[in-house]
Amino acid sequence: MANKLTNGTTHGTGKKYFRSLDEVAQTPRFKEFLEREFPVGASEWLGASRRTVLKILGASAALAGLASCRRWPAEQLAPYAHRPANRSDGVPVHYATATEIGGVGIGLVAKSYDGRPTKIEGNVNHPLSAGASSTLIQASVLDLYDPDRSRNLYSHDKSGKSIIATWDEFIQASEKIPADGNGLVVLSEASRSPSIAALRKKLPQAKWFEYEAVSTDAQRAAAKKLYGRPLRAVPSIDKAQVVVAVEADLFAGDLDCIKYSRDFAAGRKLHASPDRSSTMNRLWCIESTFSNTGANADHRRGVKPSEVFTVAGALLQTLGGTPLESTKLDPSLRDFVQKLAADLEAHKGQSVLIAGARASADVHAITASLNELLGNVGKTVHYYADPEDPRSDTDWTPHSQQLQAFNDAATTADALLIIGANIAYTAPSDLKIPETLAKAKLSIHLGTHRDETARLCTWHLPQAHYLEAWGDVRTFDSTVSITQPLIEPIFGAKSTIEILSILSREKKSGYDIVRETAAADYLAGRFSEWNWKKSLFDGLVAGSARAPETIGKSDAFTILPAPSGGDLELTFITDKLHDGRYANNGWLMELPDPMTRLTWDNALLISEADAKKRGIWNNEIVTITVGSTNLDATIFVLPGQPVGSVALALGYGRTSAGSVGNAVGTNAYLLRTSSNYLYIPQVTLASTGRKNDLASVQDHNVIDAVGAKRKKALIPELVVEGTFADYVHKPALGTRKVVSLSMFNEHKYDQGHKWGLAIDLTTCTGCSACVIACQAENNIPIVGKRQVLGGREMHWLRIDRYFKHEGDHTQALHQPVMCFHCENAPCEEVCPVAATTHSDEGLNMMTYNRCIGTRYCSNNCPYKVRRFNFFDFNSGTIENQYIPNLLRAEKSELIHMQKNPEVTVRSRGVMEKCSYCVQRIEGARIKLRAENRATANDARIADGSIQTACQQSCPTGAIVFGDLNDPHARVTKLHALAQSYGLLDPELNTKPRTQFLAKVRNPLPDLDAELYRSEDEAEGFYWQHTEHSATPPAEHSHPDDHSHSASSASTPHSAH
Amino acid sequence: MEAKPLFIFPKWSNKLTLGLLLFLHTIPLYAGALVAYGLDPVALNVGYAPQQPIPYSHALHAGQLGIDCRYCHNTVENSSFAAIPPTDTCINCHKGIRPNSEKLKPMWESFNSGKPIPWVKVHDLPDYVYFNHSAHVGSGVSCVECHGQVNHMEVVAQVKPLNMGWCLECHRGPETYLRPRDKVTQLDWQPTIPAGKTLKQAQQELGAKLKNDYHVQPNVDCITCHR
Repeated sequence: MANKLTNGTTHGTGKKYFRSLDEVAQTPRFKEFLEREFPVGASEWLGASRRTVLKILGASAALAGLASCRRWPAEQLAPYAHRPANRSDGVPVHYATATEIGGVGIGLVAKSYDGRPTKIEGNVNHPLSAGASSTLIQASVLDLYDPDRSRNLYSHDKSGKSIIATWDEFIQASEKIPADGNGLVVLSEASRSPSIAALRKKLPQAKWFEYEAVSTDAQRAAAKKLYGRPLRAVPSIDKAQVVVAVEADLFAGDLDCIKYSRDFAAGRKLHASPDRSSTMNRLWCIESTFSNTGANADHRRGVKPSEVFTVAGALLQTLGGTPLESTKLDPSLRDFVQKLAADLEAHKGQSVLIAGARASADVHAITASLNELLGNVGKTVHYYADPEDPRSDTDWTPHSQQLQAFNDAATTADALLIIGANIAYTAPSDLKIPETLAKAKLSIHLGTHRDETARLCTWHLPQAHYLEAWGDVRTFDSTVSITQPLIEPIFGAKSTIEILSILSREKKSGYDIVRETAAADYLAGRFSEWNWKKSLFDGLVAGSARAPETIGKSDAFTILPAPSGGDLELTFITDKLHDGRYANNGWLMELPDPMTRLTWDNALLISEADAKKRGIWNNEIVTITVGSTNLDATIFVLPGQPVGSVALALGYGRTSAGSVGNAVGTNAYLLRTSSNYLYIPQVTLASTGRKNDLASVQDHNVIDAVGAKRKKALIPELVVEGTFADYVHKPALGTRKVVSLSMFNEHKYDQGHKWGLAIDLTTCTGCSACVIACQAENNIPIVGKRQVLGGREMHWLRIDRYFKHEGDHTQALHQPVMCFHCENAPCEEVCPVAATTHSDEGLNMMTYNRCIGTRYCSNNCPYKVRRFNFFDFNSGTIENQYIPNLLRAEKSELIHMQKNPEVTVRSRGVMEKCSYCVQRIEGARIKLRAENRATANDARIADGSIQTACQQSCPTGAIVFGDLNDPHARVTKLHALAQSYGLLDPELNTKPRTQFLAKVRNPLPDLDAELYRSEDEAEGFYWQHTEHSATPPAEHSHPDDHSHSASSASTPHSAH
Repeated sequence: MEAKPLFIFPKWSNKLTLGLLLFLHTIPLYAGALVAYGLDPVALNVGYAPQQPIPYSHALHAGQLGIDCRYCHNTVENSSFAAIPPTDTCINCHKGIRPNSEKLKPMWESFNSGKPIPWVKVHDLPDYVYFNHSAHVGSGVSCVECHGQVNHMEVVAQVKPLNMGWCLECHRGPETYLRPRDKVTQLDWQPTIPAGKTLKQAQQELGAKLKNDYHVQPNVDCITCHR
């Protein structure tokens, strides 16, 4: 396999990308995905025998006769008895609200149809979201309608059996706890809510602890060490020319990811200056896995987790900081560190180092002192204090130590209160939290689900979703936003502040509590009904941001011993499920990971070399052994994963998450201990001989760049990439534009609109917020692991990930692909019932009610963006998908409340695909016509008044939609740029309306040169290949040579 | 060894062939009948007039008393949906007018309990059709074009087929149906007929003018109604 990898690249096809190792090896499985529209089995019924099918068919036929004489059932209209003021039935209302994840407040705007919140967007005025959002934000609306959410209070009866209780019973029981909180020990999820901070003062005797299983608390611990205070460092990437990410997931995992992405993209908006006078920032990345941030880096080094400290320490040493002990550096890394140091040296005050959640406090201390040394503090890094942190009252310790302290306090406590945190699941295993909980006489759990912790507590209280309750949050610069509810608690749940108010005997409503806090805290001295309403309307309290703290020179940096490492280290990573709290969110669960493209599983990510050495490969289950602890996990060989480092995502393997999240993947927390908190310095792997088919969609919907194999070398790669240096003197970067003659009578579009989309690959980070935004907007169902394995995932928008492997380095890039609305759409030509046709404005329309499900269109689509409803995925749970409608009990009413009423909920047997959010286009048109009616003019839809769902969610602004007939529209200008290209347009003449702007990276000219072969060189190679080389290299000349591919595909065992 | 005789159709199968051919002839008949049934007004629900929980008479309220449609269906000009009035709207008048009527009992029940009155939907488009009232009313399409002369109906019945072909008639030639915006809710309105012209001609002339004035460009793309 390694041979294949190297071969595939050394004979040099210029920039050679691959999707997976299966592709490199051209395994039968990959070829099947490439050549077939759907893989084997996708067109067949999974899991039902012929006999079952016949039985069901018989039943369907019998029941069909029961339909009444009328063609459709009678419907009732249920108007309000008392309609609220200003409510117009059928017109959506937008409310500003906010949520808090891990103590970071995010200002949002929620859309509500007839009282049902259906879609969440960022608030354009909010400093963190600025109108954009992340996967977690987009998916949060589904949590509101989660059928597995806690619906009742539970308490233990005398025999210890769990019974359903009422709020009155809880209030009565809570009176055993003194009103001042004496004897009460509280463990809370992180929150910087001013109201919670105020209520804490009303329980002065209670002991407070805070725990987040995944947080950047190590960074505050480092600040405490350096500056004496646990300050939070907030980087301003937009002001930096050189950005260094150390073990940080800047764009997808970090809680501030929306801001980081936006700021990062601000330094890469090449199209903003068409004269190419702009500068471009440079991202360096040091990490122990291959993260989404690493994929975006211009220079990246993957090292073992223990070596991150060494590399960072060497950097500090090179830049004149305190020499550290034992900074022995691998020679291959020395050059990297030297060049990085020189780059930082050249950009003093214009650079920023950011360490993330996976970095230790020592690494954070190094990056913090480097920021100080380089004069970045006050320019690209600002420090903020958090007075709302409960730990500020006492001696501050990081989250990693809080649970131990909680454990100690709990032994003498009369009562425990656990707010949100699912510690029975997330705590390091050596702390034996379940035993602590089991021993407590009175333990109260407040949570959205009856999770692992809830089941161990004597009381469980349902916690309200943020769309159901009042609250307040603070964001990175301490700006306050008020959480405004949009709906009554569906299951009668209460919020954290309401529970605290019950315990302090005040029993106030959430609304009163927040108003009182506003008057006493962030609106103090200026509280008025006007200011309150204005704060609610704006979604933030104007002037509530705090000034950054001024910090002096750091204390002397004590010499740190380098951590010890082993030959195989395991690093804990986080993915879309964060710390596991979102495990029951089906949208997130089925979202392909940006790097592995995995759904419905976490896997042990391992480098190719390590896998080969141990004779293990994809889908094999191995036992991870750490001391006496064993854990089974499935192998996923990730190109670019550092040798000697394996990675396992936290948040999976839950037992009490709900019907989506239970028993999915492996619970990595079982390996986590207080001493091995961020990574495990030595693990051993042993094959179990068992297999688990991982549902990775990386080889699904493969676009066939080969076509006729003889033309292979002629066809450019699907992703066009170049360096900033190339771009400046030759912006086309190898994109080719064609002027072709057409056989068709083409639409003129000389009147009206002509819609188009542009995607900037330079700023697309692959964060996948757009995928979930599209899912929420367009009622796209989830299908479950088995269906994903069969290639039936329904996402209209997918993000293709391509790897490039040169020398020792692997690089990856992301390319969002959805329906391109081709001018010469191949799908339209083959539909026998004209269900997919072209509109007067250039849209490739899909008419569901006309579709009879021949799937010809999907077969003929070169981009493979069409999705077929093999089942009625939108109704019913995953388990009962195999039962036809008539036999199925309606179980999905709650989830249906989320559906966007502007978009048809598709049924079985119907093809679907990206519609350019046509409901938003039509909505804008109707709105404009109403405005025109008043002024009697005939204005056109203005540029920027329609945002597609993906565009609206994109934190980097990489997606631009607009009217190509408008010469001043942004999209028209982007399409006119030299680096703009249509996917496979020169080859197929499809004239896609969605165009990409070529990916530009900004590497140093003398580092990683093999990855950045210049454009001329590469292009020359293409031609040389076809015109002069009689026998092209083996792999390319025989892509379908069976003996060859069979041997390379058989398994890696035979390859080494 | 004796060769196994080939399978030969028995003689009686000739009769079966005849029968089969006759049967096959019935398929087009069956298909034709099916299409005819589908287009039959009964199948399209023309004349559908379900019994409502309160025997509300549009003929009385909108006809004799002359209450404008928009008094109750007040969102028709700014929403896709022409609101069914909340119970409060009924109460506005009926707290004084015949408050004790037996027929109004469900209204009072709803008013006191806060539960909706379960009206039965008469004009029911399939869920994949997105019809927007405000867009049509704002363009000068009267209520009467789709709902008929509701102001003369004791019990509201569906009078138009509401099928796609019928929608397209207007989308392809709106001149026949447009009227001034301020006459949209006057269900008995007719254009003034100039001397020597027929009603039809008068309507065509007015419609053409209004189409131009109101910038009415009805679209026949699928996505106009199907999203």
